[in-house]
Amino acid sequence: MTSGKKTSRSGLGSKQKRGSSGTATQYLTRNAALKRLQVSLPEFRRLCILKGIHPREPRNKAALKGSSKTYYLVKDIAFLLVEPLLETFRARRAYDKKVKKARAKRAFELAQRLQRRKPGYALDHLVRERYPTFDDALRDLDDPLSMLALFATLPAEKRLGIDPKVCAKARRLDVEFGAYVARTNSLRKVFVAVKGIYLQADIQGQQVTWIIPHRLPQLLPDDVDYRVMLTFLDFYITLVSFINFKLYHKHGWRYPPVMDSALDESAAGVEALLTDLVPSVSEPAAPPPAIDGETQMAEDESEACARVFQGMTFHFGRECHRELLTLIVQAFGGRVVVGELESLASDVRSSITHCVVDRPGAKETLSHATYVQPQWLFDSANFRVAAPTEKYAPGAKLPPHVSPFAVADEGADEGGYVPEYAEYLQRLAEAAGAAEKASAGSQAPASVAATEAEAEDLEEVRRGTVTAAKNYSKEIGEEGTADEPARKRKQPARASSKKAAAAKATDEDDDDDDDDDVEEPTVAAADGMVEVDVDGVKYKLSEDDARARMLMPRKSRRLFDAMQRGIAVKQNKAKQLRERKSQTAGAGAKASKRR
Amino acid sequence: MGGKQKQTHDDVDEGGDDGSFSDSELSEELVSESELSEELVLDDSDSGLSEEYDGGNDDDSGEEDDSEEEDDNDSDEDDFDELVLHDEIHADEDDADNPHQDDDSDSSEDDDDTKRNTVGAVPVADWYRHEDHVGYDKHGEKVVKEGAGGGAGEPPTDAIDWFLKRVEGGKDARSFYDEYEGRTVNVTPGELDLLRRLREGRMPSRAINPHAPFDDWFSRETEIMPLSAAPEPKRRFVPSKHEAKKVLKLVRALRKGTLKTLAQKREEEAKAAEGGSEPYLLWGDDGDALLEDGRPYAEGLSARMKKLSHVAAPKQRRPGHGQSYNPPTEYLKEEQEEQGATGEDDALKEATEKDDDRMLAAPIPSMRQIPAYDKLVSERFERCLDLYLCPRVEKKRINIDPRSLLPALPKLSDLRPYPRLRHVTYQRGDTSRTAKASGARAAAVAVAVDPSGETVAVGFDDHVVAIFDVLTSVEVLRFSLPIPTEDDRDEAAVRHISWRPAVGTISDNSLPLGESRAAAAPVLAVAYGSRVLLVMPAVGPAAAEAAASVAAAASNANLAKSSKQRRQAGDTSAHGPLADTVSAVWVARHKTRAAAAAATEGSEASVASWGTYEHDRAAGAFCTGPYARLTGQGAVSISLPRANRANFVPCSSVAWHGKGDYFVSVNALHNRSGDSSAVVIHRLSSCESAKPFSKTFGGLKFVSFHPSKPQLFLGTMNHVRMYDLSRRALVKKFLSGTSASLSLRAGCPVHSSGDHFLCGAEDGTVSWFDTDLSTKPYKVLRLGLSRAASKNAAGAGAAISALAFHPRRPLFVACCDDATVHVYHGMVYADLMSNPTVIPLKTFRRVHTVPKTGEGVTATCFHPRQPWLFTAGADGDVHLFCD
Repeated sequence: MTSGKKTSRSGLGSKQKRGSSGTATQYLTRNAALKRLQVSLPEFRRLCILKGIHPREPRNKAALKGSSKTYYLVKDIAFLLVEPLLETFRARRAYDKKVKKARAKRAFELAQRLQRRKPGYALDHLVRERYPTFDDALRDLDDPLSMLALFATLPAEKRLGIDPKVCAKARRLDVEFGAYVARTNSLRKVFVAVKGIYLQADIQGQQVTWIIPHRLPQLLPDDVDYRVMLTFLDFYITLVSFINFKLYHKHGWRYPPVMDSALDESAAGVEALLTDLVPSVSEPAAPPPAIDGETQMAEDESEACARVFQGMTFHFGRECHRELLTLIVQAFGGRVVVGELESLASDVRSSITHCVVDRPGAKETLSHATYVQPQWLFDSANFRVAAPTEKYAPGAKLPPHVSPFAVADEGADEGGYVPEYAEYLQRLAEAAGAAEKASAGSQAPASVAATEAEAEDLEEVRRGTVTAAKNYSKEIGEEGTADEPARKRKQPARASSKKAAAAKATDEDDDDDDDDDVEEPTVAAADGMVEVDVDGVKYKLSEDDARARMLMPRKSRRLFDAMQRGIAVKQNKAKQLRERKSQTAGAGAKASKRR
Repeated sequence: MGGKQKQTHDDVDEGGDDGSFSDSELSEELVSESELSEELVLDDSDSGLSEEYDGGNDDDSGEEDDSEEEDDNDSDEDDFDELVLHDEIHADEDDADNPHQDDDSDSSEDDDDTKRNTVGAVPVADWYRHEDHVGYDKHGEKVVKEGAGGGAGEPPTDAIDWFLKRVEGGKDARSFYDEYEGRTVNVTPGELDLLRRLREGRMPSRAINPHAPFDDWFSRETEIMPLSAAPEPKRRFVPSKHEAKKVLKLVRALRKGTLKTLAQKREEEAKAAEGGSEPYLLWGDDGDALLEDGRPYAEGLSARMKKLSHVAAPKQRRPGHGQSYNPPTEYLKEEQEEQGATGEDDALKEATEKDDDRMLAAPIPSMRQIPAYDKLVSERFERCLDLYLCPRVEKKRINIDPRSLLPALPKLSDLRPYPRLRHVTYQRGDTSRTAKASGARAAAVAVAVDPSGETVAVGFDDHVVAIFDVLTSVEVLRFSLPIPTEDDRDEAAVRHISWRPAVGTISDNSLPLGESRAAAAPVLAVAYGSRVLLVMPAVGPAAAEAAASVAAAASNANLAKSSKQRRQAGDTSAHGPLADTVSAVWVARHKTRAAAAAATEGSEASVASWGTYEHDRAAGAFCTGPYARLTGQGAVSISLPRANRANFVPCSSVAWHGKGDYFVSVNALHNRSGDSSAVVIHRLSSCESAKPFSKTFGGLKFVSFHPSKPQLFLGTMNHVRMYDLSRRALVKKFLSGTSASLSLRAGCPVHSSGDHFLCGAEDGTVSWFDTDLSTKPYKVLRLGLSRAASKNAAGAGAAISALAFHPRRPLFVACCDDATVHVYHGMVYADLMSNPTVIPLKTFRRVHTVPKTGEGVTATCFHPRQPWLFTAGADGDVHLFCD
């Protein structure tokens, strides 16, 4: 009876034992893995973390030992078995035991000596193994950077095994990466959330998103296993140091860069490293790779980013998150003046164009500089346009800070909801872009005629952009930027603004056309829309699509339904938001009327 | 000198007590001892005891010695006292009766070897307490206690004496009693000095000066007269080859790295303890990983390693507006969410709120006021856990326009003509306005268009059959069905009606020409109750033609002419008494035939009983209608077998064979147990019936004829069987595409080619079978999956209520219980290689909806030639849909 259960017939009469082929031989439980590797559970976890091995979901759990167990691929475990670290860890454990014994015998000198002789381990081979190409490593960079940024701000606590050296190393790598991002203008998005500050950079076409904590002391919760986190950190430090090396090497910068300790102490962050990021003479930079369309686009994007704060010089108040602001300003083409205002030389003081303060009662000591709140930097950077500064004046009620991630996601497909202020900034950016193009066009003949220095022309172009933006903002019912004195040369500016307006008009026309295209079926849908119900979520289809859907194979119809369901959910969400928006707008209008 | 001294000493102290002193062997040893004693003597110079002796000593008291003596004197005294005290203690510990020791203690030293006690480590004091000896020497002689024999050296028995003796000073002060040897021992001053020096850690002997001035023979100062006058060797001036070799070796080792400096070692140790390695260029210029020696990493990989599948961890969600520290107002959390959602939107609401990430109820006014996020570490930790503990599965996400998944269909305009619009509605003339308004009208349950396509017959569930003119929608005939008894009334609802297919002249030689043509007039088969009624309604052109031929046969040219004229004028409803005559003739004919058939076969053998209804005024009007003259019609009736009233099985459908002579009736409604007589084939020309199957079918549903071959399709719960009637064999058994049972009402319309048929199921699926292709459906269409339908029985759709193929055009229709009508393009190709094309054309919704019951379409059929669709509904109407 039992033998009959254990064996099964496959093919012609050849008896095969159960569990000797197929899924049963491809997976093994965690306990079986421990047995095979002859390691303890914590050791196994460490190895898995370092090696990047994770459990798998077997296709057919019935063929295995149970559905509630954790399964690993047999191949993965075999791969662990040949890992040199396994032996190193064993040796280290042996030393740990010796040290413990010596301590117990109060032979502290021996313990110290043994501790010194404990074999160390390097993880570079794991980096190579896990990330055979540099792109792989960049793709997986989100978690390492977030972890480093977290530990850079965590207090070193001996009780939890957080070594100050590790924290310092984490901070160092974080700053190094930040310096790279700033110097190459590859920062793309900044978002100040409640949880922390999200940053997104474009590194060789890979979008790297990481979160840095707010500059506040972090509490260390007790329900966290810091050993696990430190093991991750161990690997991440190795990984990021190699990535930094590669990135610096590509630009011919020396690695590790030398940090300006004075600047570092004044919390200038990346500024402390940026001075060192110059191509070293001895080591020629790698030959530039052939430019294809994608890299060209990325470069254009970088240039656009570098222009956002071009020609602006910033000074940050003490209460600001200086390191973050420095990174952003540097990455978007601005300059930063470090030091207290009072102690600065007069020429440096006069070069400051923007003062960023985060206090309502700050005295505006620099009359020529514009005082803004930090959010101005973020919004301007995200939308690649200098937002109107008066909205961000110190003490003013700030306009909403929208997520650039959500704007990018929602704006990409129709039906998504984009908040009003985001739309406003987008239009502002478009207008500025159009104005710039137009003024660039008009500038060409002017430069032939004009005998002025080119610098002035450039300034003109910039001014043109600003005025265009201003005009635009007037047009769309917003107040223009603050009282800027009327300048002599308004011709190019006017031309550009006209062209911008024309461009806008055509754009709007195009938009209208698009809208018509989209809405046409809905117009026809008044009589002929068909409602389809998928798991309680209904969506509407045109008669033709409904016909075609009926002919779909079941599998693709399910996929189609799921997609339509997602669209329906998204639309419903946008609808809800619009309703809420109109409600709050109504409430706001009422409140203002009462006043 | 020493010897001499010794001798004198001896002389003084012991006299001739011991004469064996002359032994030369001993004298040698005694030299040293005497020296000591001399010094002791010298030490004791101040005691006055050896004054005389000292004076007698003729020479040798060197100045040096004297001076030292002087130095030591003070300390000596102290030591002495100490010693005395010590001895005192010693004495106290020892027995009080220690023998008194006199001066000649040295005598024991003289005969050291011979006179020493050899008893070993025994408690001498105890054992020999009462003896006069303390043991034996090596010759076996007794070692006599001092003074045991009443000698001079008897130890003082009195402790006071002993004390006094010692206090008196002199020699006795430095004496003690050796209990083991049994004698008093005197310590000489020399011995005392030795002891003292040892205690002080000084050189024991005064003769040796450890701090003598060092005579530096080989000094760095060049003497005028060198010790060695040899010339300096050359090697002093040339570099050492040996050393050079050694240095070279070391340098090489250092360079090679095998030898490390101390600093290097320390550094390495520190680094090893810290772990990690210095970064280097791990990825080459092309971005591929390199080995330490610069070779590409992938080169060295084994095939097994390359096969390892890595599932990348999913990235974390990007933050939305709701997570901003200063979100737009619409992203602020509301205090209480309104709960006004309706039930059916729950799923949508839930899905919408699933990824709602609003966090704040009010925006934070400025960046410096953002509080610390206390869950930051925990969230990062959870992410870590996810990364190494969560099983990963690769799921492919596609980012495409869902419309691209839809199959490309040909343009609808290319597929025309097909029924697109509702054109005409046929209603019974006797329906009152109030009934119309209240909806309490008899439902139309069956519809059939006659082969000429000019009239449409409709069966209602109140035992009425009405015939309408297709084009004018005029009701040309209506008759109530004969109900044998009033009890049958409820059971005798019309289930199905069917026109006999168009037939040419029936080649029955037994008939006269006129009658044979009349026999080709359209016949309507009505299935109701447990019987089939065959009516020749005498409407339409065929009937008119038949009437004309009968008239011709009767040489009634006028009548024929007028009849023809009328037909040409399009007045199909005007039949006149001649049509009635045809009908009456036809009925009468069958009456005789049925009687003949019953007579030949015998009553017990007949499966169904044939009979006729003739116009019987007494029994009441069989036919009613706008035309009073039509009341004279009769009908052929076939009573199907019925077991009893309790097990009543009504006839559910009638299907004609293509040639119009045979038809099959099915008693299948609710027939679960099965009955072999449920399927009966009838032959109209001979008025005979036969049971084709002796087998019973559980869950019998429907039966259809193959249009040309003698084949029969028979549907059961989940199968459709194809039988060859001529061979009486099962040809094929088709499997329905769903688990739900097949729809009885829908039947199985067979395509005119005979190779394809449809069947519908109770869960709203329609299966298209290609008999040549497979026993499984070629295509399964899921209809009736609308919301209302899916709410009932476990997600199943509304049942299929009717199906029909167009006899000539590539069209078919499927009607659902949710009041929808789906029209399809179904093209069948003569080419065996190409599969049929099925394209949905048009869906009509809310057709014939009855508000209360929700029922919709009950029956459907196509016009024989035109792309016109007729639907009969529960609301009592019949619609015509045209292109």
